[in-house]
Amino acid sequence: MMKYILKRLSLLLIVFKFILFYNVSAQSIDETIKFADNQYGELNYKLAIKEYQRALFFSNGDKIEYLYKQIANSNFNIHNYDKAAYYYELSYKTSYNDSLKNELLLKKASCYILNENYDLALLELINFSDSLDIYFENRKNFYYAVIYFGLEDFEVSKSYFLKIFNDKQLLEKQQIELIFDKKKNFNNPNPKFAKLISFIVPGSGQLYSGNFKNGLNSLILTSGIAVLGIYIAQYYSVFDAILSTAPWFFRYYVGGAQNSKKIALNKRAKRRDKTYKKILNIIKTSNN
Amino acid sequence: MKKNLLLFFLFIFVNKICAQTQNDIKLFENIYSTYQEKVHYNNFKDSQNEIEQITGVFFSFYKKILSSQDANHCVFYPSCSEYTFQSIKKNGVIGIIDGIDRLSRCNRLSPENYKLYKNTNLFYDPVD
Repeated sequence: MMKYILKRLSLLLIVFKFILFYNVSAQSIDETIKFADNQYGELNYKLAIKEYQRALFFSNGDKIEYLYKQIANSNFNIHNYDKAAYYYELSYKTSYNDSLKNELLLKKASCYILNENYDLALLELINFSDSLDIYFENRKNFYYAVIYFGLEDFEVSKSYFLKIFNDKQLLEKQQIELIFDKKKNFNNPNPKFAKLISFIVPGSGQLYSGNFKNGLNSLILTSGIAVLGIYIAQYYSVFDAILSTAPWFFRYYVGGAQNSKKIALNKRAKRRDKTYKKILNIIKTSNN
Repeated sequence: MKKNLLLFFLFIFVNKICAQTQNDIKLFENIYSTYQEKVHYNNFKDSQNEIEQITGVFFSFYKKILSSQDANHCVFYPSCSEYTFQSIKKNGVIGIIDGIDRLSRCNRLSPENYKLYKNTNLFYDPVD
């Protein structure tokens, strides 16, 4: 009997202790957010996202705008731009502050830009109201310039880059105009032309793109196989020559032409990047 | 007095513009650095034994002279030649068999067995 009572008592004790412990240790939403903020501050973004989402699930809608923004920022910092854009959108919809809304729009546009989705970024910027202060107007122009540069519409990009500078910054404007006037900075080498001339003379496309080693390699390899084919045709038969060398010849002939296009594209991208960085440098130094 | 106050606020405001544009510049600084840098295949230089040295020389010759002139046909990342070379480095002569096995799998018949590598449409199949 005593044993039975003791058993019951200890069970009750455990139950009470559990309830007490639960009451003491249960986190409030504010505590969860504080913990998430700490994690965010310590650059532990993945855990911060988890905690913010937990707070979001249990919240009664008080800090919903802040939570969306923090989840978006955390995703942005771990380069998860698709999710970041989604949460910036939610934060934008729940926000009532105009300047915060503008900031969120820019953040969302930057997610699309970093994802190389320039069309969507452009659509996002259209949401801006026409009457903006200089601060946002300036930033909006910069975003437009970057987007049009990515869309390869260099004339429009130039016009937006020029808008960043004020009327007194004539030298900077002149420098930007000079850079954009040199078409070579953006269109050379032409990948289609490189491929075409590579089909006419193997290796010439690579030489045109400035890759001499690769061009010479292509020329020697394809002409070597062609010479071997002629040799076999002379000493054996044309059928033997086609059977033994044609697959190799066409492999390196077509491959060389395709490579020349790739090399030209790569070279052009490098040149564009160099030009873009030059422009950014001008803006940077003008701001200093 | 009013003018001075106005100038003061304008000064603060202009500083704010500059700082923010600087942040934007930093954010978008490398978005167009998507071009590929040249890859140098001098794998025979850090060889541990003769087998590695010989395969390294063949690999470098193939990569520099022949493969550089070929279009991209391999469906894997790393490519079959790189995989074979890495496998030989790791497993010795058995790596050649591993390479032959990889070549026999170099097609798009079973995409469910592989993950895609980053943003490319290449199957990811590294040497374990």
